[in-house]
Amino acid sequence: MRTPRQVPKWLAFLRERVPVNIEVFEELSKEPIPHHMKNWWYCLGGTPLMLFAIQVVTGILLTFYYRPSPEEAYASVRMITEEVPFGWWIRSVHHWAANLMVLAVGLHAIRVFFTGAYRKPRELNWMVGVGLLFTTLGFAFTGYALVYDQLSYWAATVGTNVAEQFPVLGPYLAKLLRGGEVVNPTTLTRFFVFHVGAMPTLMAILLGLHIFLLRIHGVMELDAPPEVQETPLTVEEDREGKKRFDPNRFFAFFPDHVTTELLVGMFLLTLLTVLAMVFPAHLGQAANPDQTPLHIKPEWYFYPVFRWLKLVPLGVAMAGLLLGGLLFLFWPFVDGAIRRRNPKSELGTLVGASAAVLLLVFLVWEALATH
Amino acid sequence: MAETDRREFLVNLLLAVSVIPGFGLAARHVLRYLVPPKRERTAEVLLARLSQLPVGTGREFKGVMGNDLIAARLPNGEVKVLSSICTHLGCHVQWDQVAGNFLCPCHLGRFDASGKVLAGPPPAPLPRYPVRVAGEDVYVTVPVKEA
Repeated sequence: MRTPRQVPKWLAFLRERVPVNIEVFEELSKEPIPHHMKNWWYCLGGTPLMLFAIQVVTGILLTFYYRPSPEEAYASVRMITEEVPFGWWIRSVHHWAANLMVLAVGLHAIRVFFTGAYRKPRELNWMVGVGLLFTTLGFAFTGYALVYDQLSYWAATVGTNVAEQFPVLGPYLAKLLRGGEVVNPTTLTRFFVFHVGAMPTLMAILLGLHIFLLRIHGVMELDAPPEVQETPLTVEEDREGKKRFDPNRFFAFFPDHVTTELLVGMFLLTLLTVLAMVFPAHLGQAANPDQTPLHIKPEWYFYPVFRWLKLVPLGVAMAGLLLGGLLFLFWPFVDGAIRRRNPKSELGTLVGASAAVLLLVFLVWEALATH
Repeated sequence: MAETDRREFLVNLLLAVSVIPGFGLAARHVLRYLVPPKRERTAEVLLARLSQLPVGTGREFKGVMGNDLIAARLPNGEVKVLSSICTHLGCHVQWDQVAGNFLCPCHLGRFDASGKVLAGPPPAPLPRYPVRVAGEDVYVTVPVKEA
């Protein structure tokens, strides 16, 4: 062991000015991770986080050239794509990372749902997660509108009109989004501010809360009995007991799980670059507020909602969306009530499976439909 | 060397040789992205008619696609168009009809008809632009400068 004299000068300097105990960080980094997390399917929680980091970096790079005004937005995106060195790459990676992020958050939610990882005491973290999913969709919607080509302009028009139909809050929400009664020059500036200012702040707060709750609950042990699930292992309890954790049930967050996540990160970067090269981000005709294109479709993740809106009258559709959204948000409590009546009930799985199938059918239906 | 050590070493080596160059390459792309491209868009514009530019005379044209130009019609009838901004300290040059060259009145720099420095302090020749004469019309190709 080193005596204090052997501590390098720079480290002594730093320790005097930042008087924190490094050992505490070491302890914190050894968060016990249940063994099932060695399965790739369970890395979906870290995946959106890494994609978000990629979005922050590429997003900042894009704002170096993007000009958020109706006169200049399209030209600046064209310049990024066609003139700036590697601009096509940055833009395409941003585009694909957004798509993958929606996919990863969705799959993460599905996995959490079907493994029942939202159950007591983790209900609030499920709700924070739902907030993260909606924020991700909000990011995707506002980001798509910034391109300011025909499809993106009309997607913003249709999207804000849909929001307007939302019961009670709709008209206010639409006005807030558009900065007026209809889509106007202010709308683009607002979308830009939401996309690069308000939403990243919201995302950072929700992510912080999500990870904080995850840490104090610990990761759910997949095959543990309910009484273990409800009294999660915390770092403090563990440290006082001196014995870190049972190696047959857990492994350390650092370096084991960090290495796994790094591998996922590398795979994502490779995948994103391949996607960017093979399918670079598209840029259509410049936005023309006087001419609606013949076949407008939103991005794939809004297909189920788009199909739903075509199937039923608007009022019913919006009421359905509101109810579905609320059920999704408060699901842990609904499920809790069901399980209190009948602990062996499979109703939750049935509801989840039906919703997943319905979403998938609507998605494929809209993808194949020409009108 | 134990089996696990060797395996760990090989995995780390593989990661290092793929990750470090990968990130290095990405960082290089990002740095190149941050340097804005030079806009080298040029346009051919109608500058004047030959009748406005008698043989042996010169004339300045300001704000042609954001450029200040000076045109001179030489005794052999050839038209030359150059930047009218002196390369010394930015004064506007004039056509010296007697000497048959360009004079900068600020510090007496002199340039010949093709822009080369003849005398005085200018450190570089005047930029020259391609000229095309079609009938009576004199066209010049200049870089498009944004306002």
